[in-house]
Amino acid sequence: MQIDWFTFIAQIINFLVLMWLLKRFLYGPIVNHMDERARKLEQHQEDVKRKEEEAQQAKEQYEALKKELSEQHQQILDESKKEAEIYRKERLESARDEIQTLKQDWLSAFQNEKKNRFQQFYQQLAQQTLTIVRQVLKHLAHHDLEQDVINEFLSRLKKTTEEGIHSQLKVMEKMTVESSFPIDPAHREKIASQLHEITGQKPTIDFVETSDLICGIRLKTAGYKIGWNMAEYLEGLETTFHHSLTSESSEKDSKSPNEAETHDLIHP
Amino acid sequence: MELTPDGLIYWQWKWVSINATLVFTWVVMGILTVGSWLATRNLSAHTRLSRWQNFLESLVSVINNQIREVTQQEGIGYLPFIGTLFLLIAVSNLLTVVPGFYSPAGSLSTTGALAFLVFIAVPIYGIAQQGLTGYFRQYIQPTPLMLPFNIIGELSRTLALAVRLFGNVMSGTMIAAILLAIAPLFFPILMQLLGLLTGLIQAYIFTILALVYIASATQVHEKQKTQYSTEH
Repeated sequence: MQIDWFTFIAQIINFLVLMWLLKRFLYGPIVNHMDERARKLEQHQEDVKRKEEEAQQAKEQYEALKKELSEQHQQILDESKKEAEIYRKERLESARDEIQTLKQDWLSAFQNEKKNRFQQFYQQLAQQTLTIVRQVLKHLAHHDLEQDVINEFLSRLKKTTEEGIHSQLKVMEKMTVESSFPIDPAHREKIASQLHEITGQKPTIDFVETSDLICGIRLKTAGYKIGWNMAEYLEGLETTFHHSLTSESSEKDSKSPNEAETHDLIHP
Repeated sequence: MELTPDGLIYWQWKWVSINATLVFTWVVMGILTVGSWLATRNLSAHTRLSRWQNFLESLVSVINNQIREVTQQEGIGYLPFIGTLFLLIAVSNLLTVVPGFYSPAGSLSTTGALAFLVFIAVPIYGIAQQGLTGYFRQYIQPTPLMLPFNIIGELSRTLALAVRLFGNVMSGTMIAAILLAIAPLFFPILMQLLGLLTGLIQAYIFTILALVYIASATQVHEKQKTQYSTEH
């Protein structure tokens, strides 16, 4: 049991060599790798933390965006509702206007139709009245009346001289006397003598019987008519009828549509 | 039989003799070096580890933690010295289960050399930590009268370190040999198993003691620093 000094020194050297070898092959690499892993883990943790922060930020951004979008959505919805309401009102107004126009057109057409019908009716009434009057007068005509008519005719011929138009009659060589009744020869002679007296000539006189005249007689030359005729009165009556109808319709036309409408509404 | 492997001399030239202690030390060194090289060849810094790497990292971590616990300092600086001490002694003692293998720790030359290394390492680490004067001032603490006792204590603990390891390992071998002679069947196996346990414990004790000595040399300074800062 003693120390072999060579072994002692050799073991010291061995130990130092082993220490170097282990440091080179064991501790160094292991510690380095452990450090590296620790660093990596730390870095990884930092990465994770950073990513978590990023994710948190992204989440916050997303939430904000979502909120903004929601607000925009609500705003758009509100605007759309408003626009839809405005459009609806406009359409309603337009429809009302259209209905109003149609109503006006219809009322106007109705008024026209009514007016036409009335006019037609009045015309028929006038026509009928005149026809009846003509018939009545035809039936009433008799000899004494015809005598009176001829006398009236003669007095009118005489009046031409007074009015100065007899000179117009002088130039006529051929004259026609139309009458609604047959004129007897005595009266024909009277008329001829009267015309001779007026014109100073002896023209050729044709006595013609015509249904155009109603209980009347007339002298027809080129351009002139002289006579007495019941139909003239009736024509005057017709003119009066026509005039009154026209004036009535124009008065109705001049009335405003609202007044007409009101009138219609009150008296349907 | 030989009490120590120093007696088994394979080759000798004058005072240079290659004995079993050196040869088996080289064997252990070879095993440790090659093993380390093989194990650390494909290290990766990823989170997924191979079994070997995991084992080695655990081993290094355990040693590191022990150093940190004892010295209350970061252990990386002491790791090569302390770790090598532990691994050399532990592997040497564990390999005694192999028939024909003599633990180099059973040689007083080896344990003396290791104890001497500790004896040298303590002032080296101490001076490195607290400077030359700082380290040597502790020999005259609490009074210069204590200087001889401190020096004696330094030497005696080194001697104790060497002899303790040698005695334990050698005795284990001795007991195994004696029991083999008395009861050759089961007892030697049990004693071998006990020898494994003893070997590991001795490796641990030797390493821890070395660590404690180093720590005492480096921590004095820290205490002084604390006192200084509290006084002022």
